[in-house]
Amino acid sequence: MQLFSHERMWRSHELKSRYDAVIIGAGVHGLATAYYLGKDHGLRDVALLEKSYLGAGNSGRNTAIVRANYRTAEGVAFYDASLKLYEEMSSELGWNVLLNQCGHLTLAHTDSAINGLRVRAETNRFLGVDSRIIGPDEIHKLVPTLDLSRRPRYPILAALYHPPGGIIRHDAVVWGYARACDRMGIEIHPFTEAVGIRMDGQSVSGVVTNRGEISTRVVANCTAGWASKVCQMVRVPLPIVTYPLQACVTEPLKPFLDKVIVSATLHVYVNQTDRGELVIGAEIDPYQSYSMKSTLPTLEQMATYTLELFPQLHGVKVLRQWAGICDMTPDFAPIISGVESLKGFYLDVGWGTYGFKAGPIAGRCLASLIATGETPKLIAPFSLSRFRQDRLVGEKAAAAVSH
Amino acid sequence: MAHPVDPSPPGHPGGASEGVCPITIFFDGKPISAQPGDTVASALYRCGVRIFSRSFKYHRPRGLLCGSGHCPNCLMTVDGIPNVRTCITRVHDGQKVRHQNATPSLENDWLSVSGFFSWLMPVGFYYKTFTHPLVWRGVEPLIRKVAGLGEVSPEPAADAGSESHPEHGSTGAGPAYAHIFWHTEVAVVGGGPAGLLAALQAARSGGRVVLIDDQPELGGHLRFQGKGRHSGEWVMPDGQDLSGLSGPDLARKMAEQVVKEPRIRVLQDSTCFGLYEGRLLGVLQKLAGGQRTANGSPSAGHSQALERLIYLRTQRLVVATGAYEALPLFENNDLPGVMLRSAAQRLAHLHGVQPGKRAVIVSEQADGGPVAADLKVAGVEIEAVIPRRELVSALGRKHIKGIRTTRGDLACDLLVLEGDRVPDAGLIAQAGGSLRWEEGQRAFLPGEMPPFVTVVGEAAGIQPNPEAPLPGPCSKKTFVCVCEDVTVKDLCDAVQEGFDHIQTLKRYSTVTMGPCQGRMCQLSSIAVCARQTGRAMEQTGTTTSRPPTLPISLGSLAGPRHHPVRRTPLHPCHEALGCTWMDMGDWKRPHHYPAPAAEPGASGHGATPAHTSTSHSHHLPTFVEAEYRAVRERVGIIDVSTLGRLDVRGKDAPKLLDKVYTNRLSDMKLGRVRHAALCDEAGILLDDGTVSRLAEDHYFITTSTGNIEFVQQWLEWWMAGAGWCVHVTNVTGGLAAVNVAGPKARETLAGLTGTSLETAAFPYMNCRQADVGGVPCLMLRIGFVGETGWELHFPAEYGEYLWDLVMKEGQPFGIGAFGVETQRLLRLEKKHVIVGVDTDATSNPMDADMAWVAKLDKEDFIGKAAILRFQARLATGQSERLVGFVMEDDSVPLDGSAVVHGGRPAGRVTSCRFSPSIGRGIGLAWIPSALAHAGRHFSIHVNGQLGQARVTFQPFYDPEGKRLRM
Amino acid sequence: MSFLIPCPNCGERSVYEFRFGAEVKSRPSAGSPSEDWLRYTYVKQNESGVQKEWWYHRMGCRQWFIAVRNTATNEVLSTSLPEEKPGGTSS
Repeated sequence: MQLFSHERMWRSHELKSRYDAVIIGAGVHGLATAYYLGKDHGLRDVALLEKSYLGAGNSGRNTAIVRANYRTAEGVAFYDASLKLYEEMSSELGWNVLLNQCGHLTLAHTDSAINGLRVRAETNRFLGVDSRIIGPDEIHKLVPTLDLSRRPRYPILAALYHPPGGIIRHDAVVWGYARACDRMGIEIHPFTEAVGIRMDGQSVSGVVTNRGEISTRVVANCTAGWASKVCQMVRVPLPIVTYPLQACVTEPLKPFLDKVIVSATLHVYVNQTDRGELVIGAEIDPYQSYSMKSTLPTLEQMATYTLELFPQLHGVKVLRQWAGICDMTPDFAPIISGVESLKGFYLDVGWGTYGFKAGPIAGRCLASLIATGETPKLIAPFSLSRFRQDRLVGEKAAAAVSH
Repeated sequence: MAHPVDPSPPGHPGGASEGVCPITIFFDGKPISAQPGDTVASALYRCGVRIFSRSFKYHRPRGLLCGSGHCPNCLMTVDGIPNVRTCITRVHDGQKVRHQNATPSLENDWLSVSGFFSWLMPVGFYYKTFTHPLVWRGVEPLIRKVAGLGEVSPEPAADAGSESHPEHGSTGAGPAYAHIFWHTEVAVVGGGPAGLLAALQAARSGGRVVLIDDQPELGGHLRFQGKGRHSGEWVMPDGQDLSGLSGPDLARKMAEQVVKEPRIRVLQDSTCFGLYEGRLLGVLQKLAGGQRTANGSPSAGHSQALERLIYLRTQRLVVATGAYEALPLFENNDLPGVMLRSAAQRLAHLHGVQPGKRAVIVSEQADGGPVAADLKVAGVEIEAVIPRRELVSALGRKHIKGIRTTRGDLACDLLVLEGDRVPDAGLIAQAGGSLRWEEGQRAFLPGEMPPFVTVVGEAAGIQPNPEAPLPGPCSKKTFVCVCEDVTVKDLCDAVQEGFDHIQTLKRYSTVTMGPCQGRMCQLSSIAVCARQTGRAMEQTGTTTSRPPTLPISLGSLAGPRHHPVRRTPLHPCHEALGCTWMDMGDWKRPHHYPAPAAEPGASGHGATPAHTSTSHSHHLPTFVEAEYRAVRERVGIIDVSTLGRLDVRGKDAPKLLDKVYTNRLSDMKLGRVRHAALCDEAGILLDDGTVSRLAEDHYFITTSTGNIEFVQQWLEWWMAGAGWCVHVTNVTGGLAAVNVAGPKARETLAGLTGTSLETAAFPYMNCRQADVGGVPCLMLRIGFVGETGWELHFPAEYGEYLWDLVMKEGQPFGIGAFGVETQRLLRLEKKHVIVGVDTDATSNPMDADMAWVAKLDKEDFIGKAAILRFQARLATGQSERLVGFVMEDDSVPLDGSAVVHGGRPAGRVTSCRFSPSIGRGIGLAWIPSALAHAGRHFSIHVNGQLGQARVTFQPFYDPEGKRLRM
Repeated sequence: MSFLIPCPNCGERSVYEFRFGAEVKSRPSAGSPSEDWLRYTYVKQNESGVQKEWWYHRMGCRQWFIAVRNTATNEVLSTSLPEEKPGGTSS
């Protein structure tokens, strides 16, 4: 019985001198790509390189919110497919990723915010995603602890309610994928950093790591925060700027909130985990940086805005604060495609603050692209070449904070 | 019941014997008398309370363990605040203390049965079970229900921390929390002997010093040591020799010197919880004056903060945080009655409480060391002193009854442990300093430090731990982490499963992730991990230390509630008319005024109209109807003071504006006004507004509400380093503005100014500096709402005066004030695009049907290259276009409704209103360019059905603009 | 959000007082080929390490200046009043 088995989740391996494919970054995206390469396409001679421990990057730093209520048709279709994969994940992997589809509320405090939410509700509805605008009475029924009075500086006027949205245990997703990859013979190499990429004319030919050199014809950049750095190795310029994003967690409380609450006006989002902790996230920091140091003014802001929503939490204490770094693209949409100038080099980057939600479907689509050479329809809008054609995706208009 | 052994406990100046008012606190509703100087925990302990909490997962009984705020065992709800460390919280009269996480009581907790099934819950239990989504969906709510520790009120209004006025967003009564900002040359964290000495030395060498100590009195561990001679040489910087004194006396003498030293500022009861970039320390000070009412809010009329967050910038930092004790590993090490030395000593010395009757001391010193003497003085019988390696397990169910040693069982009701000394290195790690394992001391000690940090005292090095840390057997009853109920067995299993890196081990087992933030378990979990992986302590390493080093309340972090509100100079005029307000960024603007029939003031601050209905009524709300009629038929006035205003002067001003705006502005004649737009290099519309030329080298620019800062910075950026002579001044705050528009606008204003308003003298899109009612005004003849009208900009201090004057002058003509809602309808009838409402962060002027703003024959301007590309793309028909539309049926889609093409969402409505002049719904929408042809039909989703709309590029009202020019 | 920036006019202040502009880039001259404009508009060096960038002292002298900063550590190595012309787009 699995419960009392202590079989290793993933084994360690010596680095081989060649693989069919090498994936840089063993976060949710890299793992999902490897998983689907193996599962959907039978490609198992794959190495996943992770420069730190498994889940050290944004896969273990995000606030673990999943949802599909995006603004654009491209976004909705894509994230909805991802959410469906998350829904099946526990039974597919035989590993509970603790998905809790508790419902997701995006609050509107102004007229214009309501209109923005309506655009999303309308697109969602047509694409079969459950999401609708609700008023204060219904909000109160769903979240009785929320301050719906006139006391806040920006009283809550309405919300976009997205019942299938929710939270998940992010680390469990990483571990579950890692185990599944391991069982298929895919190799996971923690503490293995890609320091260079070899090229043979217009094609990729290998990866140089701190543990030795690998030859391969396929390299996928599935990093977050380091996308530009990895692409500099092959001189593929990216339209990405990296910003820190901070979050904090409080000590455990008895059940207080069983919905995900997001407020773009207040630059804050709050949810309560199954352990009872409140997880609070902020807007990205207002300057480019690779520093993952937490800052006090951002913590002050998170506290300030959380108390606008839930004033009774003033005595609740913050246990930990942390930061991740986010690769922001000009249109807040990802880059997931091959690169015209370099055969065998694939990008799955630029996920901004949305990466975790997209992991499964991004992995599946990228695996398909790598294995078949055909671009799946779902990721067609997200190619790198769109920036040469001014074909930006309109997700940026969906307001700043919408994790 | 235990009894106080010493009526005037040492270490507290005013004992109960001095006749201070008796203190009564309430524990689960039961009155308990306490002594001044007591902590909540010491008062409860004195009254016989032994179980202080129930554990997180298995609901095991937990008693006082560290007595110094480092472990989770004494967490209770105090005055409505959950998860309070009662061992470091002082009592006050009337305090309400409630137990947590146990039903019905701490003594008898129903959920403690979960402990018996703990063997069924190996590490990773939840990941390995309930993998079927439907099963999990059923189980998850049950797990959720029992999780967590303290409770907070579900009622938002029950306890808001501080009262506040709804309209001001600021605090009304006394704020519970305050923030201040300090700068110092030296910050010393820790008021123990090392910190005191460091502070005195720093002050003596001329620095200003802030000394931060988390205790009510200085002296650190010296305070609760025995009366015997304290070891070591103690010569103060001024030469005074304090060697040979007892611990408490030494503490007192050193503290006296520190307090006398004018260069040292002492912060007591203050915790330094974080060191951030830029040598910024976060310090939380508990203020003595602060007393909470039963619900945790400050008591009525109370004006003093309870807690103060100090942002302390320092040049140098001395870390003197000392060391704390961690829980050694043995079976049942979490039983009540198992106590770390620090807790026993504090109870005995600081609070005069007998910690037990019959104690076993675990010590490497044969006589049990100072703590044995301390316990004897407190009247505790010492059953035995045993070395750590002989201890096997603690015996008992709810409280310790004895211990099992390698040499047999011993009976006792108290087990005092010399825990593993752990240098308190949280701040050091945050400072970017490295920690290295020091085998000699068996501890992680600071290695490389940034140059501004010095570490002194026990934080820098400890008396070597004798054998720490001993991982012990892989037992399910040996608790590594008392916060999360993680046992040695759990860690062993997790390592076996491949979570063999300390970081993944932490995340999988949740060790170190509880309220104690790893204080009790970091060292022992590393020891277990090291043993199980066969790696050295050094190699195993530590987990990342993250701020805050001590949990800090959201209230303290947020500070006094302050959310700025901007009001226009005309705010009182709108108040007087009883308008309904809306928020626009920081600004308050009148959304609408009461309809004439309604009693003025009746609608007051009511909510804005229903937003969640499924469509607009095709009848206008009466208030809009009345305001609309006033403007279209008579004359209306609206406050537009929220518009951003820039004064741009200098000989290079035309050059700058030509570069940054898409229009050509250098060729404007004096006294002319132009509508102009700004784009970024990607051709995205950033803002629009009017530009008026007042002189060759002088322009007056308006921007959208809320965009002023951005536009000013944008203009300044594009001239940075250019050496141009231009001054860009934000004059928004200094000017009020109104727009007076309608067929009778001219008559209304004519009586107030000598300047001719006739079209021949003052044509459309012109401006004049004029005197209106004695007030110097800049008058712009522009027509956002589609009627003859003037926008008046004038000094803010004349705001109310001029508003009242215009209202009075216009009365014979039937003047009416109109709000934002009516203005939006009026402009929509003119098909004026509002940047930021009808456009978004991806819109360019070509697609937005604003091609006329872009003067592509200019040699260069910001965004030109992109706009040229968009122009080329326009011809290919591969884009979205912003078009006007008229509904073919009676429906009026809501803003944000979907445009539907081929059964899929293909665009969106940005603005739509019922137009009184057309008698149908009109609006603006983004649609595929294939549909963007005048007269072409398309569908809009309204109320579950598809409404038919017709594309139009003409304004809906007065398409030739005759009324503007009249 | 608490590191310090020595403003060339006002001296060392908290980053909180400033607005970040963008990495310094050079703007193509008018009439450059479309390729140059696209690269200039979208491509970012996004250096993890020392880079030259634009900052604005919002709550001080209200001037744009150039900072040389290590984006990995947030250490500001130097600041100066601009000699170069503005480059990147705002973010």
